[in-house]
Amino acid sequence: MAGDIRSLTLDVLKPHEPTIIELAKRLASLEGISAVNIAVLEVDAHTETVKVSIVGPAVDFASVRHTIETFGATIHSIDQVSAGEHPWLPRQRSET
Amino acid sequence: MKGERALVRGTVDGCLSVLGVVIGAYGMEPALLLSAALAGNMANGLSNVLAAFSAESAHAALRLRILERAMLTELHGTEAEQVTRTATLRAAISDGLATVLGGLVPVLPFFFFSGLPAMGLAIGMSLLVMLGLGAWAGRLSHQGMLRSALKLAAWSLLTVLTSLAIPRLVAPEVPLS
Repeated sequence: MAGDIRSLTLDVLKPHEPTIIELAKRLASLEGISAVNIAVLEVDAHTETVKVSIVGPAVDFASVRHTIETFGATIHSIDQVSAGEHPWLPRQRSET
Repeated sequence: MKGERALVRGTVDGCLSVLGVVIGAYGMEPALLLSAALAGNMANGLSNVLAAFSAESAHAALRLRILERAMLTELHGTEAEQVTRTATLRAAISDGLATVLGGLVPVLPFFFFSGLPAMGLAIGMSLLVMLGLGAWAGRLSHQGMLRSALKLAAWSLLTVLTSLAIPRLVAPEVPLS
């Protein structure tokens, strides 16, 4: 549908457990999501900052936020979003 | 590592505690000795589950509070809290189970033998288990298998000697053989 979110990039702060593997699996199982990529940006004694990239035909942000919060993580910022019918996907910039 | 820690702690506790009971109750009728040892073993195991759960829960609660401060968010009802709770419960049960299994080692000979042979076997088997456990713990911690094994065996011998001495003080009229 026009106006559906096609891709989302979030900056998320999470505890070490559950792991990003479990978070990625849980997000990928949500309706409207076809792929999830999670990259760890920073790690400290208790938490890790990760970049979550989600792609799908109709990404439901409310479900994504609820899932992330259920995991005990918090969304620091929404870094990128694309919506609409045009199949444009953001390029992954390397973090150096 | 929590599982290994609970296993070592529980097995040492169970094995040496029940060995003490068995040595202290030596001279009793075999059925009574077995009853005392098994009842003591189960009580020790259950109390260790409670103790480990209480201690681990308190520590886990503290870790969660620290995490909440670091993340500036509440973690109540989240999977992060659930993971911590599950790990706590698993550690407590491991501790209790290891205690009961360790406690069976000095009891087993009394199912098949009696008197001094059973006592000798109980002490020998317990020492062997402690040596093996010590070696394993030493390997895990990279602190030398032999050193760790001998350390645990030395403490076991101290337990045996103490357990042999106490009945001599409390009930010297009971013969050793």
